[in-house]
Amino acid sequence: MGLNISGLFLFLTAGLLFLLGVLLFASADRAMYTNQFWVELHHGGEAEAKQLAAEYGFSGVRKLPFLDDGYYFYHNGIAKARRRRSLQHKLLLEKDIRVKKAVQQEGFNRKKRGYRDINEIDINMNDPLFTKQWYLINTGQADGTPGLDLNVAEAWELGYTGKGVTIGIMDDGIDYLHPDLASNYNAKASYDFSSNDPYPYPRYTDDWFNSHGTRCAGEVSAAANNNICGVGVAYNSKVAGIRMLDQPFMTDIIEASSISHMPQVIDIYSASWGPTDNGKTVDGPRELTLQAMADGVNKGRGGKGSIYVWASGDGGSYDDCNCDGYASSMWTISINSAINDGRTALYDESCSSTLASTFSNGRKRNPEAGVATTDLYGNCTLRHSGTSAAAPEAAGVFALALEANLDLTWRDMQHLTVLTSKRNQLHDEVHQWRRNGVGLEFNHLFGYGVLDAGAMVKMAKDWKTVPERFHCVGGSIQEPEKISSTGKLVLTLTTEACEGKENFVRYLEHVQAVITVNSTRRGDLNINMTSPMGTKSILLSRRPRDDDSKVGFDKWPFMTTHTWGEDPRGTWVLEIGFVGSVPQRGVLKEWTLMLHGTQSAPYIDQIVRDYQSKLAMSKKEELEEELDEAVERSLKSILSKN
Amino acid sequence: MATRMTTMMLYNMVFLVAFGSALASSHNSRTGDRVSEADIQRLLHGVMEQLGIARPRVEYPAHQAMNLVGPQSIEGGAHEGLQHLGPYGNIPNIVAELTGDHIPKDFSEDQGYPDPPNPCPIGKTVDDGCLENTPDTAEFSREYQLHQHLFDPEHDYPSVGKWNNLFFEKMKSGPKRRKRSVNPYLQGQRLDNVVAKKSVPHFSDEDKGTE
Repeated sequence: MGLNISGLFLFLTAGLLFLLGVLLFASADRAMYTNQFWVELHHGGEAEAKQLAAEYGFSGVRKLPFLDDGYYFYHNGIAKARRRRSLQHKLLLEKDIRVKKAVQQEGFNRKKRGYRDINEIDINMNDPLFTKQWYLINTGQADGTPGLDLNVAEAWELGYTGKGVTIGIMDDGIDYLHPDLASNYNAKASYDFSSNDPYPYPRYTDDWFNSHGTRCAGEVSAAANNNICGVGVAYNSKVAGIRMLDQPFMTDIIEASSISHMPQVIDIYSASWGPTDNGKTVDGPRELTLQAMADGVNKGRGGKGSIYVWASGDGGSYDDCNCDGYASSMWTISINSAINDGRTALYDESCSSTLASTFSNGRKRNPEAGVATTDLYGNCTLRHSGTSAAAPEAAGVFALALEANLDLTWRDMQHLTVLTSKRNQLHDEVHQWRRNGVGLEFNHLFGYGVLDAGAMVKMAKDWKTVPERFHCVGGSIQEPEKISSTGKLVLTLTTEACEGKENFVRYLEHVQAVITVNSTRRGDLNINMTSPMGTKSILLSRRPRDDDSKVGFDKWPFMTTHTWGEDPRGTWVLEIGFVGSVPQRGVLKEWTLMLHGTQSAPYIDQIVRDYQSKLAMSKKEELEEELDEAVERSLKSILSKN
Repeated sequence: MATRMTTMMLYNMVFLVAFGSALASSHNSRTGDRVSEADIQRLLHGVMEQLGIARPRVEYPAHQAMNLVGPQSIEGGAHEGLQHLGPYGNIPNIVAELTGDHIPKDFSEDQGYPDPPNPCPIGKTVDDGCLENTPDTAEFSREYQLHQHLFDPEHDYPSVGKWNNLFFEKMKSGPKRRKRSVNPYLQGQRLDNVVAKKSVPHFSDEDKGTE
């Protein structure tokens, strides 16, 4: 390499950086102006300042002690914060001969980390349980961590409450006569598959067993300001009941019919069911349900795709939700839960397919640490819990995002989830937060963090639909490989990610490792996969109760969301080993790497409003990478010419 | 260029042949080897990808297909996790699973579930096949379900046919509505213990449980 080339490279890089700066600043947020003015007088004392303030309609004036003839004018005539300078006031003040200088103060966005005073949130609800709904606004109720909430207040203040969006609750029915739900109930979109009629009213049992759907419905769509129970995350949205869990058995047809029920009317489907969480089941959608789900994402909501929200499961550390084919599907957004102090709930199942988290209870005995919502027969409860309480909260947040932008596709919703979810105060002793190859922070338990409704609606508003998605078989190993009982089997696959072909995947969304493996004890298997950019996903962790020795995993698609945004080209590493006290034997028969994502950069055209955001970071990253690649290409062409 | 095209074509041909034989085998002699629906879907999709007729925007079931055998085990609602049920949140839930396959179930014993009442939601009337003016109470639902046979004799739940026809009905003829517009409780048979529970909720029991 000669000096010229490195010089050229430097030149190009400089150009790139300049371009980057311009791009970033062009899309910068405009300033916020407050109702505060800094006024300097030519001469005269406080009396004259007061006189002046009164003349121009300011409600008060205060001397700035550190500045001669400097005053602070404030008034209530202008909205507290606005986008444009109040030119009139400024001009008038400036024209006045007594005034030397008048500067309207710009508002800085300075967020107190992890703490928000409830008094700063201007939301008044007369619903009796509203103040107990810590997952909406966490002020530290029930020994919780203040500020650890869904940040719905910000979305509500921006005017998003779920209007025009319908959420289907696939569960054991809904008490649609409940006075807190009746007005938001979408009867036309509801159905009872357990009894085959259009009225999904819950079946009575002495233990009020079938209260689950009603509780979930309240989290999403309970009406606001009606003096009953609490408030739903999207309190002006409509909720549809899909009763499908309350029969003596389950069939593929019931599931398929439920998730494909009125896909042009129902926007979001919330599911709190899946394979049995006994720590030894490996199950997923069967033929019809699979077809129905694919149909939903391809054709639902006028082709934008139905949004499926899935609870990741209640199997605790004995289970792994990658063994749940519903939660680990690319088409569902699988949601885990955190409790009100940022820890994981004891029942939380972890897996690499989890995209984000919401809130529930599962550790604390204080009943007020639970989820307050509507209950059967016109009642209210404080004690809703389980990850199944987490999924409807997410459905509510997505309803707010859809109201902000009805054009969002099912993939846009996942991108927004990745970009706006927050680490906040979520923590775990075992699973640490890490950054993936493009700098996105993730956690094996919580995905990309807790949903942030405010950030999500703001980003949704000017979101541009992501580029089209391609599917690429990155490579496959089909020869049987023994897994040693002591060490571990390490395999590598080097892939071009279909580069040069029509289905080249450059920016990853989902990655699947389709694996066929047999072992003397399935539950002792441990599978990790590391991307070329160094991101390690735990595809399967130990399930001590799973003693299967016959079935194993047969072409099972383990999914990870942790490599989101990464460049898949390079060498992927798969590690399979055994954990447990007794030595086991096993054979890996297949590892196929399936890459799903876009060819063009998904964030390069997005508008950045917050420089601290993940979007700003990702966009910068993409610009740099695109530039690097452009430089590389031109270098190659120069070299080939010489 | 030309050679590359040829090799591509050849590759596709090989794939098609393989696909054809796989399909054939699934229908004939090798049924014992269980070539699953998922396998066929994957193969079909592979061919489409090779031929370049798989559209990128579309999601294919083949990408999610998993080879599963045996009956399905599903858990959900209040059947999973730890939950606190009842008006006072003091009833623990029962963890149980729903299993199922394509084989029709025979519930000759009365272990099937009674159908809950179908009260009319806002905007629906008796003509829509629901019960008007239904009190939203546990008592009403319990009584209704207990006496279901008495006023709904033709409803011989749990009927096996209902399950088999469920999908078919939905697809072909829309929901089949049983006219159950007569609400027996509003026709003379008076229940003195039915009270509308619409007052402000009370959590006396919960308050005591705080620690």
